[in-house]
Amino acid sequence: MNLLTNSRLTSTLVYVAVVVIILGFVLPLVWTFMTSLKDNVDAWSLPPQYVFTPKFDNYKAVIIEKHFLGYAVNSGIVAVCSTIISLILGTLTAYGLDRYAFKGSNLVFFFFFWVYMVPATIIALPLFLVAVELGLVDTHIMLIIAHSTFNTAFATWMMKGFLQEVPREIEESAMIDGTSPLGSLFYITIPVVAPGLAVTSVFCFMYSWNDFPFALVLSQFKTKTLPIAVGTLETPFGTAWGEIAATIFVGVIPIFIFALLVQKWMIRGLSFGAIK
Amino acid sequence: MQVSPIVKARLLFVLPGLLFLLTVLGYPLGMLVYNSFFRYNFAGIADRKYIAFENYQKLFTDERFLTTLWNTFVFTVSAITVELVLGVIIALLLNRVIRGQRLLVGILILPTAAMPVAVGLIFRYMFNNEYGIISYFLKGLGLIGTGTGLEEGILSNPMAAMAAIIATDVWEWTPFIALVCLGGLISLSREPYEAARIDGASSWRIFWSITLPLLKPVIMVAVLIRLSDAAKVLDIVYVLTKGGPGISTETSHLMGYLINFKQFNMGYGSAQMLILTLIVLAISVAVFQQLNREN
Repeated sequence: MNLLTNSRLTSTLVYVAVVVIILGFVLPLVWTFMTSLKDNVDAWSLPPQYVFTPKFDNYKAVIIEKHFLGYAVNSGIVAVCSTIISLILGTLTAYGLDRYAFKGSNLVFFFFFWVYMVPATIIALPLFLVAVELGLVDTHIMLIIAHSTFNTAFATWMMKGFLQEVPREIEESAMIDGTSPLGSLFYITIPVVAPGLAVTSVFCFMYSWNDFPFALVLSQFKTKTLPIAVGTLETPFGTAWGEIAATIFVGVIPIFIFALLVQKWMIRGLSFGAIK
Repeated sequence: MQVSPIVKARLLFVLPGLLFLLTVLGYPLGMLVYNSFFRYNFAGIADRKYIAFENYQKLFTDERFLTTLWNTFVFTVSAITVELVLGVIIALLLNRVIRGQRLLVGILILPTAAMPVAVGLIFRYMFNNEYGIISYFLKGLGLIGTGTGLEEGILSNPMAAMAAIIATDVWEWTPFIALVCLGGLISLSREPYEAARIDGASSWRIFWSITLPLLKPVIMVAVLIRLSDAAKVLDIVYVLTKGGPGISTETSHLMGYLINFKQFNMGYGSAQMLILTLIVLAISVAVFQQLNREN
């Protein structure tokens, strides 16, 4: 991989380009972090303040005074449940579609693929009306179901790629020994596709944790999730930029912890089983 | 009747997921079709009146509908193109970094892992014409300000506002493409490279003839995920511009949301959503067939 070692000049140019690109991504992060440590006077000042006294008031305001921990718990319940449901349903479906392919299996897979592309608003409104009928308004259940739709579709799509890479011979020999199809999936195949499961679960969790469109319709007072709570920091009397910046960093913590827990599989899984 | 073990296994594996999605999606879609034939305003007096195809006739002559489709197209294609090019470049670089690779990966995950709503809001802050840091720098460079047509600020100009939304999306999702491609690069086998090096191929040549083709399947998956997400974008547009100025940055999903949930015009909103669903269906058929052909 010595793409960039042609000559001194090109490599210098490339490195300059690299620095510019990386800075383009890192500087907004740095500025956001600085904003999260500013009070409102500094955040609104002109010209923008580079030197200021850092204060942790925004974090305190968000976490303690504005009860964002409670909203984070709501987000967490929904994200964990929908991730588990989606991983189970997705892995089963992907396995069935790959190992026990039938005439319509391509159509089924296409349907799942399409579900992932359907805008949330289409599903969210009828689900809200169903919730009214069933007396489930302002419970976590509807949001869990809603997130499980696109996450199941996503998990099926991802896991099919990973499962295709597993040689069938090992499953077949297990089944000759008397293991059931379900047993061979769980004891033989699942351990092999662990990287795939890790990556898929991180993404399912992230999509659910960060979801805005579904929660906008389905999450109310008691079940308000973090992304909806962030929107409430914008008021007619002014927007708490520092607090919004603080929620960005508070909000990524669970995703980071999750990604760290599964990191030994992450990089390998990130190629989606698409590299032979 | 005897059910063969294979059929049993199919039912066991495929049925739960399929039934789940059919149940949860079947009802919304049915309702969407039904409502689209009515004049039905949730907020007004409950006059649910059957009007046959009137909503559809109105839709296809509605300039807003066509504009939002065009906006969605412009946003999706531009954002993904930039993300792909930058993403591959960053992945190639990260692959060469040995020390500190994990730290860089950790930092780069941040934009992708952050809540899109919060990211959209923070970028609105940075694009703010009075105290936003990006506007401040662009003013310093003379790129916005008197005589450039951008005196009112980036988010008040139709073209610049769209560019700002695309830039925000690029910032958020390029790291995703980069990490996926990095995963691919790490999994590539070394042999083709050694052979090419022995043959004296140039680095540029190696990239185009070996790395890129080998990486293509991974890139395809990443682009597909981005395509699906970008085509249904709502959150960053919702907080950055609310579709404005006018409807110049309104995307299809945002239009559907506003008509259904802000104007409560559910009959017309359903027709719009349904046509949008069908367009998505057509695109997924095309993509799907292309994928099947390549396999």
